[in-house]
Amino acid sequence: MSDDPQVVERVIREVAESLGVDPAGVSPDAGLVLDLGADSLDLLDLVFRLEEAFGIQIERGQIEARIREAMGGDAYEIDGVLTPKALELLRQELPEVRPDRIRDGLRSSEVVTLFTVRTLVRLVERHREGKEGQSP
Amino acid sequence: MSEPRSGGAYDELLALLRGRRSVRRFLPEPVSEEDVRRLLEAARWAPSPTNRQPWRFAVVRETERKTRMREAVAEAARTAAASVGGMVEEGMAPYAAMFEAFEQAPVVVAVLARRPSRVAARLGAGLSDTERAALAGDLPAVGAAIQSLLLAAHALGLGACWMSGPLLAAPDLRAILGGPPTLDLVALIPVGRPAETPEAPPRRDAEQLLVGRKGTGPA
Ligand SMILES: Cc1cc2nc3c(=O)[nH]c(=O)nc-3n(C[C@H](O)[C@H](O)[C@H](O)COP(=O)(O)O)c2cc1C
Repeated sequence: MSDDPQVVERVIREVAESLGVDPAGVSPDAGLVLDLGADSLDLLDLVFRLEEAFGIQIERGQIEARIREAMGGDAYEIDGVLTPKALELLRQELPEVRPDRIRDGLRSSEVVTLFTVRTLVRLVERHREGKEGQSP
Repeated sequence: MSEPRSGGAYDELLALLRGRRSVRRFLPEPVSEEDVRRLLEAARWAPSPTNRQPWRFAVVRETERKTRMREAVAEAARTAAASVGGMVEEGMAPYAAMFEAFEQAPVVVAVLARRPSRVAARLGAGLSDTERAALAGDLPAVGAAIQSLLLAAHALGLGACWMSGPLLAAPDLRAILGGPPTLDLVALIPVGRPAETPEAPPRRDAEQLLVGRKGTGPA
């Protein structure tokens, strides 16, 4: 499914507002942490902004939860470090992230640092689909 | 209340704090790049919530840009005054010049701020506007950086003035300044060698500033 340009534009606007950067300089493929310098509180701010902008509620750890489910009982992490199988599933789960960034030794706490603008777009789109599905 | 403890560093600091004035008339003598760097060096050490360092600065030296900024402010002040009319319009007239004094300074430092986090807005939903802004803390922190900058200017023998009046023309000013449109303008600070030594406007006594219940123990 291709991304809704209106959602992309709005997410870029919220990212730019939150970080105080020029929206024209925010590419959908920019990493929020690795390229745009967001810190963990900025990410929280972004989640709140997207909730308000799109009237959705975003819960923590959905991506991790989906991967854990797909692991079929295999270990997701060992001592906080993602297993090779988990990395493979993460690459599938986050196709918008440059594959070289999903590297060996990645810690589960670092997964959030991989998120790009497009990760947020997809997050929003998933929530909107869910909402539309529920409404009569 | 006990006497403020005096001593070398405190006395020196207090002399700087008391000696700083809002200077609105400047000599044409330029301000060096080095001095502008010293001002920003002082500003960047201000405290900020979660160390967000929400301040950004734009430095304007070109006469042409300063004039365009002054024209934008004059126009915005006229429009704003006319739109409210009556007593407010009359009352604003004497202040108009105070909004435009920055044009004559060799350097104008524009201070901009990141927009406050929505987290504070959500958590502080039940608070007053001011308390919500204080909880987010970005604007107060930028204020602290501005005060540091003003004190540094004073310590370097430069005059400066914190000006919010020009914000009447904030959209135009931001366009003239350039930089990300997602930053908000907080102040213009003209800087230069002072061409005036203003009297210190009076301050309230510290005793008069105390509010609330007296006493040290639980009520
Ligand atoms: C937030 C703020 C906004 C101000 N805006 C203006 C202004 O637009 N124009 C101006 O001439 N002075 C402005 N001032 C300077 C005040 O008038 C000045 O600080 C006050 O009268 C006390 O004088 P002092 O700074 O010399 O002690 C501003 C000061 C602050 C703190």
